[in-house]
Amino acid sequence: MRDMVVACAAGKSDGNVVLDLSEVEDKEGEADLPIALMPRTGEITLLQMDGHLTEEEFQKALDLAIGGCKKISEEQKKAIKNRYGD
Amino acid sequence: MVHIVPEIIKESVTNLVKNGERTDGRAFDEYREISLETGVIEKAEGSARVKIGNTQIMIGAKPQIGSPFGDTPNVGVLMTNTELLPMAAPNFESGPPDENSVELSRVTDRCIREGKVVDLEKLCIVEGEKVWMVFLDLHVIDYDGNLMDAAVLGSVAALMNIKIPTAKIENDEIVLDYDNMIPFPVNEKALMCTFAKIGGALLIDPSLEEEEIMGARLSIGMTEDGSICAMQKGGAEPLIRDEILKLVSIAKLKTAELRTHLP
Amino acid sequence: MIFVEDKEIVIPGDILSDEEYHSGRGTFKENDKVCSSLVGLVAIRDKKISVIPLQSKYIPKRGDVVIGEVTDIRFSMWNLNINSPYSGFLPASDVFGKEKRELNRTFDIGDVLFLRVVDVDEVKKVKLGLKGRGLGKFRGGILINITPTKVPRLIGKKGSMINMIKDETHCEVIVGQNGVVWVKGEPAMERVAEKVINMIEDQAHTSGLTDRVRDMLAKLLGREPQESEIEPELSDAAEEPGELDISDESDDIVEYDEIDISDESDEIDEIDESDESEEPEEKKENKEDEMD
Repeated sequence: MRDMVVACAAGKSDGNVVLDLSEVEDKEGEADLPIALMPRTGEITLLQMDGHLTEEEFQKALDLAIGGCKKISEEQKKAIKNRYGD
Repeated sequence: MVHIVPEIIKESVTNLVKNGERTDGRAFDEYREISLETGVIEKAEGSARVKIGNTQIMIGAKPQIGSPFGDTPNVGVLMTNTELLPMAAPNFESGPPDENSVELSRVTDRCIREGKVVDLEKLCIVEGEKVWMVFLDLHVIDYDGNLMDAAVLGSVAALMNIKIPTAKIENDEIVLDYDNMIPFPVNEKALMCTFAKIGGALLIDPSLEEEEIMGARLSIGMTEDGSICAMQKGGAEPLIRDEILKLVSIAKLKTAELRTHLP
Repeated sequence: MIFVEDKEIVIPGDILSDEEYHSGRGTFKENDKVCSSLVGLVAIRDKKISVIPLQSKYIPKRGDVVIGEVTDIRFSMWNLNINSPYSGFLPASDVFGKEKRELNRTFDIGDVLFLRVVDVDEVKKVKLGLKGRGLGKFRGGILINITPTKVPRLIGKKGSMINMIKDETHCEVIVGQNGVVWVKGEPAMERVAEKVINMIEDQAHTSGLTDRVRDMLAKLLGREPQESEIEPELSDAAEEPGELDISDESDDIVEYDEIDISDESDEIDEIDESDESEEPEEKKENKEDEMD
């Protein structure tokens, strides 16, 4: 394995660009943007988008999702190190 | 579609790209020649034939009265199906839809649905009971790269081409008035723009050769006001944030260009 | 320049060093940087960085001694599960010589054998053999599975750890390099050994393990830890933190021979070709005895 891929979704709910949509927000919301990322390089390996986002909203959502991925990656690493750490 | 591309071809195309050129001499942001005709099939209520370069798709749009889905009783139904006809490419086979055919249907459907090309609510005749259903059939007759942009362009044109009789309720029955045909309720012309990443560069409207060797692909669906309604990344290689944002701004110009081909 | 310490835990994608170092097992190079491709411990030897996996399947290597279970009987061989993605086969010729016997009378499905890996070919077909001192079929006892990478730790420096367990529990213990451990003794003692072995597997990469094992043994056996009886070797072992032996040479085998297993020969039915006339009865006898 070259890296530990993480994924996260951002979107738009009730007119606001938000991170990590809940089920209700996903169903009733205005946009859904899931991405997958390789934490070491920041490269995006999966991206899909449904809904309605202006260019600015898209940038905001993309950055939110990238940030979310980085956070999940830290949790992943912590979990593994805790399992094996002294 | 399993197709083995000789390493030599991959190298030569990539080297050209690194020099700022493409095998057919196009610029990185240039589409091939586009042609779009509507009303080409007499028997279909709506039809279109779209060509981008040598890629050719015939699209039929058939409206029909039927029942709505349980969870959306006041909304019409849109169903998209793709046939990758064996004559279109040596590696297309007849049979049930494979993953590429399904992907093309879903991406086209997503762009049209999320872009709200058809006002599905206007298709409701009797809530919970009768609605207009429209079946979009995409028949790929010639595959020379970039089916997605062609499919969306042709589908929007086919939908615009439909005329339906006005529907009235008389004595609890639906009466279709064929003397008063109305155009299908198309309000938004959302279109799609596809880019391929080769040798680190981003090229619009990949040809077949380019598609076969590309590392990644990004298709962006946009409405008339430049909002994004659909996006799909394909390919094994990754993209970076800045590349994606750059493509969004190029797509804005290019979808507007594509729109000029619509009737 | 190096970005990690020896024996640090790393995960796939972690950057270990720059181009000054060579990429060893468990790593790959990207843009002149050496990165980890596994979850494991960093091992730095001169200018080579490797990552030793914390958990892995056993990959058979010629010369290894392994414990396997017969899973299938074919025309002229037995197939065995050796706790690996690859199954091993034991040719009948290894056991019978020229004479054909009924294979299942010798070893049946479910029998557990102690074997040597004779050869591994390019498509990972694993040939096993029984010729050798101490190899053969086990009778009775229990089996414990541990991750193969922890086997050196279980054995310890010059067998110190494994001998401690054997001495304290009075059990016979044989460790296969494929991570399968055979223990035989009084049932209660077998359980003690099992607990200790599982603990060692869980904490193999930590320091101070030898002390904790000694304490645990004492606790489980219901007496005070006997510090005075420690041989100098054991205390050496205790001083070196987290000594997961990660050399690429198979000096595990050397260590292994040092553990005297000749005592166990009555617990293992060695295949002896010379006593052909006696064999049928012997085998029958042994099979009955096996129902411990």
